Amino acid sequence: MSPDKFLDFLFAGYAAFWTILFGYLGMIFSRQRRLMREIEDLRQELTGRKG
Amino acid sequence: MRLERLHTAANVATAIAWGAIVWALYMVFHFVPMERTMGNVQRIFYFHVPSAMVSFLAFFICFLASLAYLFTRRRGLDIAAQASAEIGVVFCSVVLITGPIWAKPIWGIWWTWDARLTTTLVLWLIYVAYLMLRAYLPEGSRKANLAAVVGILGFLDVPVVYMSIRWWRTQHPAPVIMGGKGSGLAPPMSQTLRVCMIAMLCLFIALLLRRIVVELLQDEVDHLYREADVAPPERG
Repeated sequence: MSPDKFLDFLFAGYAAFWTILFGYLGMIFSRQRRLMREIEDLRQELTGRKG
Repeated sequence: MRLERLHTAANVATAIAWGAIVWALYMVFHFVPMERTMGNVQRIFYFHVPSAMVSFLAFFICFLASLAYLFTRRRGLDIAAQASAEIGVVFCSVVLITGPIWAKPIWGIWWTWDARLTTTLVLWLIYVAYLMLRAYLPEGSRKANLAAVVGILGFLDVPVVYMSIRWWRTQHPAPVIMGGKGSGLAPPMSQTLRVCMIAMLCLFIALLLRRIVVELLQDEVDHLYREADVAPPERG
């Protein structure tokens, strides 16, 4: 078996893994950032109301 | 305080997972020799099989947490079940995509409706349905109860997927781990597979912790909206 045979499939297999992983990580981190921003804004609003 | 500790644990687990993945990649692309009959494309196996194992583990955790939730009604267990199912779907997607990419050059076809492939697709669909149920039902205990029931029933497919290549004649290769007489891997291959399994397990733990942190942040946001007496915006 030639080592170069089916290398494109090997590349595609690992590319699929990384795409799915980074896609999911991107989703988690963007949601985490959005929630932290939202918490910050809500806390500021609550503090402002009390003040 | 609990959130901060979990956040730190998620960061530590992420760092360990990246180290383990680098180690796994070294084993896959440098240490293990090329397989004689399939050539280099066989290296997909080292990420394909551990992804399948981790998806089984994720669905098992979802099953246990769902079962425990129905008895205790603790929100933490509901969060753990949801987070674990979501990560299980991610790893199961890796399995369903990398499998056909390996199959095309080896079998000459992308897909066949054999027992292993079909039961795996059914498993993926069950947990996608579970996540859709969670996404579209209104917040409350009914949603958590229904999700727990689906999380428990959905797990029934996991032993079927695992045993399918033992119970039926399939196009999918026979088991190489615990497959009985004549099965097994050459030592460098089994070492590489073990390292890849460790790496995927570390990645799973890191993702699970991170996902739990996000869900706890969501709870905090909901709590603050209630405190501020403001209607939360529609979640996309």
